[in-house]
Amino acid sequence: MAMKVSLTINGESYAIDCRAGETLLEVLRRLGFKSVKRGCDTGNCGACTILLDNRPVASCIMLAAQAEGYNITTLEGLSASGEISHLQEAFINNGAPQCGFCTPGMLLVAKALLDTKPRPSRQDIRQALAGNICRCSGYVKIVDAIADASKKVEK
Amino acid sequence: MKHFRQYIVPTSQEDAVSIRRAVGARGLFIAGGTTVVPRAARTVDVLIDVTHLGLNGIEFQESWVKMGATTRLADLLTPEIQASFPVLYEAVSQCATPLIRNMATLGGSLATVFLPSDVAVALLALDAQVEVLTEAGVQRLALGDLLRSGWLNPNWLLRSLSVKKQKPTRRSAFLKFGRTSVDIALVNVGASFNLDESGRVDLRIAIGQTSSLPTLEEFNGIGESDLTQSSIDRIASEVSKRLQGKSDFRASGEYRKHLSKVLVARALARMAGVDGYEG
Ligand SMILES: Cc1cc2nc3c(=O)[nH]c(=O)nc-3n(C[C@H](O)[C@H](O)[C@H](O)COP(=O)(O)OP(=O)(O)OC[C@H]3O[C@@H](n4cnc5c(N)ncnc54)[C@H](O)[C@@H]3O)c2cc1C
Repeated sequence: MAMKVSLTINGESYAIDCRAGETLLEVLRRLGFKSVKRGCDTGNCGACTILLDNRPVASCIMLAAQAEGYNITTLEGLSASGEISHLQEAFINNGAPQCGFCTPGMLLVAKALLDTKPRPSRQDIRQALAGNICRCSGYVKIVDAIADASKKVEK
Repeated sequence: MKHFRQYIVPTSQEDAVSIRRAVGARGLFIAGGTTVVPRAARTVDVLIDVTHLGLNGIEFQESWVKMGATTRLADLLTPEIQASFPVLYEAVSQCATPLIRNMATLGGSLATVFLPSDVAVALLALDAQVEVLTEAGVQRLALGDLLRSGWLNPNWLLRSLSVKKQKPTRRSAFLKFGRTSVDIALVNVGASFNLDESGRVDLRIAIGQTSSLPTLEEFNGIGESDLTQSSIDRIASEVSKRLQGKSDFRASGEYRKHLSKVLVARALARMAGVDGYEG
């Protein structure tokens, strides 16, 4: 059945016609937020990570209707001004993106982590990334990039 | 696109219960949705959102700690919960991934006891009570009794879980065995014991994944001095022998019984402060 859902995405309001069964992932991609990737579709891989009120969640096992009332952030929201964030820069400088498919999710988890804990240990970083899988399996550079970015977080 | 046709956001707890009753088995409550969205049966087409009904948050009362049913698992990972209920803290921190814990709720984790539920095993060990809203009003039930009667009725709205505040002499532990934390546990064990003034121990051990519902074993009035390596081994063997030992594609019943024995022994040793089990 068609329904109306109001979503706040990267600070902007959207009134959307959607179906009760549409996932948040599907609606975000339909709206053009293509940084949100469809991976496993079961909540295991983290490619579809977005932030809900600054907390990372898997948008593939969440319905769009569930997201009403929350502030949604996608990777596009990190560079809304047209310039990439220092976190993204740290990923580039450390060669962390590799094939790039998991990168949007990794970046959003890293952002949420650094927002709550500006000086995380490597163990904190690994724990925060536990729900995000990189099939290039190069976690070292990803952890390096986040550790690097944490040194530049303004307090 | 999932198969659901209608998403209802009720404005009161009573409405939620009457909508569920009206639609019957076509309807399901949805909280975090982490089980409902990927796994609900094709026959379910109405979802009833329970996350806007004032059932969120943790309250430290005089002698109970009351946790709202829609409290997210991530919000249970606090220093207070860690200090008061190690078994619950450990179960939640080993349950799924950070992404899932930010969505999944306490109530959703308990209602899914038929699936592997780390949180339900921990709450059984803690002798938790649930408050549910039924058509007949609010009821408070012990989880142990629910287990004996076949668990929650799908028409009931879970409102909260309460655990008695622990004396400093109460200890608890949670252990699970699986390939990784995201993988479903082959066996999970929650245990807690309470030491009274006369040095007697009341012990509760909950074991998940060895039959369709968790198993709960209670031992009352063992002497504390009995919790030596040899008596721990004896209790663990006894418990393991009594288990049904469910076999499925993940593990055989025999293997699960063996794992249960090892995990129960480790949990008891950890609580009693006996070394030599974690190897
Ligand atoms: C990738 C992944 C990994 C996982 N790993 C683990 C793991 O390691 N260990 C583990 O134990 N679990 C694991 N799980 C399962 C997870 O713990 C459950 O999906 C979650 O706890 C369910 O909570 P929810 O709020 O999302 O429930 P929902 O999916 O919203 O609901 C689940 C059930 O509870 C009912 N329900 C929800 N709230 C209420 C209420 N207030 N009153 C009455 N009924 C209610 C619903 O009707 C439904 O039947 C994993 C899940 C995923 C997706």
